[in-house]
Amino acid sequence: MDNKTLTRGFRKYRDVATRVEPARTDPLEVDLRQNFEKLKEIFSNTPDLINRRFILKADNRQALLAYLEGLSDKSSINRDILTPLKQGTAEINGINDFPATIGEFHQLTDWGQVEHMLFAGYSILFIDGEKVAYACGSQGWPQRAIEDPQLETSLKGAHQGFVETGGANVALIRRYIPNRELKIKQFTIGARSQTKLSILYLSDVANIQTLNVLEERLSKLDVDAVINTGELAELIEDSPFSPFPQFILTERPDAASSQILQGKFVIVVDRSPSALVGPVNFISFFQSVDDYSTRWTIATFIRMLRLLAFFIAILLPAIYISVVSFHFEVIPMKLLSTIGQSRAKVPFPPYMEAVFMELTLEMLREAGVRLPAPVGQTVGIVGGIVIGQAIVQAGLISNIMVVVVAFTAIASFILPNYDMGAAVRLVRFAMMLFASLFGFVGIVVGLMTLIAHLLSLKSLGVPYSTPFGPVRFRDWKDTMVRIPIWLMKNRPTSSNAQQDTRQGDTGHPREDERH
Amino acid sequence: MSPFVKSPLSFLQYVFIIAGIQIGIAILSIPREMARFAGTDGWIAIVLGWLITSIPSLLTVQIMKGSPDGTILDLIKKKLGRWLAIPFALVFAAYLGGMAYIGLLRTLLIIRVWLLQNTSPFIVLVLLFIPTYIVTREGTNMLGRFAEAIFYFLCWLPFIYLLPLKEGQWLNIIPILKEGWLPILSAVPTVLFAYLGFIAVFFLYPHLTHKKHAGAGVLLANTITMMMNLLITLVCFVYFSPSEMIEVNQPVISVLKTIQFKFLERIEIIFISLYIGLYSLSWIPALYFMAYCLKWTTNGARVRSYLIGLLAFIGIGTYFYLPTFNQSVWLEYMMTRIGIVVEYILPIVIWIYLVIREKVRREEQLG
Repeated sequence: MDNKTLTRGFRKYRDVATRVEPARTDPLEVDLRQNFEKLKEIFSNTPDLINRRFILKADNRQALLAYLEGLSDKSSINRDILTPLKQGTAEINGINDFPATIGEFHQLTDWGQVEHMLFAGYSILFIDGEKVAYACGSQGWPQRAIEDPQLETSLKGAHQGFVETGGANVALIRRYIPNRELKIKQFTIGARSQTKLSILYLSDVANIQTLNVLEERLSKLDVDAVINTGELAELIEDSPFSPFPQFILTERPDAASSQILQGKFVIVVDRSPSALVGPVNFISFFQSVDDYSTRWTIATFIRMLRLLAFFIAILLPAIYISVVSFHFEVIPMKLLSTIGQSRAKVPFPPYMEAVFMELTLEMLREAGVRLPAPVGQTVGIVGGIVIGQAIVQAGLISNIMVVVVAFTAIASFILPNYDMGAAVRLVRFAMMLFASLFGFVGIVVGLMTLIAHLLSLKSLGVPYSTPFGPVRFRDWKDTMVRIPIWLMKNRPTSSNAQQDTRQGDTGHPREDERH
Repeated sequence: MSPFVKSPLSFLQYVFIIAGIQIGIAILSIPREMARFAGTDGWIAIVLGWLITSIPSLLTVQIMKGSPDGTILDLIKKKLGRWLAIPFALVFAAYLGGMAYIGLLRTLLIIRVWLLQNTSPFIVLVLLFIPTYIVTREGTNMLGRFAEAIFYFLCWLPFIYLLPLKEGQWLNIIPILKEGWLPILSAVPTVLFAYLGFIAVFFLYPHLTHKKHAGAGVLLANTITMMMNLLITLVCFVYFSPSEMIEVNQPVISVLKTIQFKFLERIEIIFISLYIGLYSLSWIPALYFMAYCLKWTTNGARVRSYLIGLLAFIGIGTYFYLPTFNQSVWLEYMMTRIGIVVEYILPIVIWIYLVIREKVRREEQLG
């Protein structure tokens, strides 16, 4: 090994070591004054740190209560800590008999713990003459009320969405599965953000090997911060170069719970309003909560509609391009002359026309997403002009192209999952490129590539395209069709569950009455 | 863990890989060849070929029963030693390479004639290599899934061939055996071309999860191939007159010209495009097995690097020279002859050798 690589290796090592200062290990002092000085030294330039000095009524010792304003619940501090300590006469005999009327209580011995607990929203009590400090659970930070989910709206499902507090999100899921087998494994990720992750699963149902894969990937992470669940998904997914999502990010507790009941894993990330579900397969992006609360015939119809929409959204512009520029002999004469008439004035070749219109559509969509609602209406009006009669009259785009774009737009909005919809939009452009170069050959080879890619994908080591490849007919009951719920006796094999049977012989209710 | 367990193959995947190679390589040429040799009785030859093929394909499975955790090359190495196994590997590699090349060549020529007259075949080849590489780099498991997916996607395709029957003349087929058995028998060697591909058993067997059904699987694959060929040949015979049948260049495609909808004409254009998926089932596994053989011979680390080499080799070759349609037909004849040696005679020889060897060994043990 030459000198250069050695230095580089050392620099890398040093970078990891010094990027974030390691936790302090120096012990607390007995003297309150010294502790106070140390506290000020560690938390310099921290104006939101509140130090409240007072005298304990019971034994007249000096005490100091420190907490971060904004991370703590002030009324709880006043009512449950300060009042009993300042006015009560009970003596402090260690952590087991502490006069403060608060639920959570910890004894701290070194500064590293103090720092950690302060940032977690605890208030820390130092008492003169004691070599320990006490952390009181008085956390309270700005919180949003539980609201209707924004992205995954549902007609009949619950109207509670996840919020930004991990604990509350776990509680929302627990409400659906009050079972002692629902286990929660906690991880802390992010050297700076110290984000708490909770993996939720049913320990007698979910596959332990998959859990090991998940845990291994999480424990390998060395990042500064995980702000959102989407970041986490990108950090632990199997194929980072694929356009397709390999985890479901849901903001619905009911959806997350039903996935757990199927034997899957749900990761709740503190401070993020969506939970990550894995392992998932391709078809689960076409399932929605409403499918299970509408009649099964209707749900089946909607499933098929979505799959059809998937293919239309990917292929329609590509087919238009290849028919108009390569294989016009496929269309009958009358239709051909109609297309010819509408295209006669258009100066662009078909692929440019299509790319231009699809890009316009994407811009309108993106503008609509980012703009505040009152301005958003303008986008709709302007969009209506662009993708509409005006552009045809101006002779820029043909009538047929407008129809094609409108069709693909609707088709791509039918998909219930936002990430899958985004992937479809991207794949569409690749298909258009293939079609503009090779016509039908390009489309077929593009489809083969797409199939091959989907078949090669995995989610947490589980094949992504089950039950279609490898084919498992048993699992088709909840794919293109959604059979009646009383017939879904087994869990899907795609989740590799230990416990296969989901429900007993519920039977058809009417049949039971006949006996 | 053994590499064969890590990449398991279900029964249907195994069937579809074999049937895919068989159908992909010959579906377009068989009806015309049959008409040339045996006239309208050619369909009988297809059934005869199916019967004949059962024997070597079952023997192939029988040979592989002695090697549940190794391919044919591992088996030969175990019985004959590494230095005798290497020529076998090279023969298999050359044969499979020829098969893959013929499959690719056919596809390229058909694309050039029917779909993209102005695009250079080299560029089309590069396009075809994209899915080829994505599938082959993942190994046997992926071959199975891909074959399965393509089969389910295109399973409706044979039924379209029933539509031209409306305008067909069933009288074309009768009388059966109008010229006796001789022309039919003369067509049999040619029809065996349609069944080439069960050599895949040599490489797939160790991956199979249910090895008991391997024999049934090969027979099922042969039957699927036979049904498919029989259906399309019969439809062509019924639709075209016996003299037309030989004149038309691609009867399998031309027969679809009759199908027309109010919104769709020249439906065969769409079908030829879809056929690319079916053809790919012949060259994709063949290329993979070839790369496997080469890797095995040289004790190389990864099949992937050999694949890239092979694809580059075929690509460069095509850039400089592409055979014409007639030359490709000649290549197919050659392939049929070599195939009869490699797939029909060789398994019999190996099997006899293994049986004799076993007997000799047993007698030695007894004596």
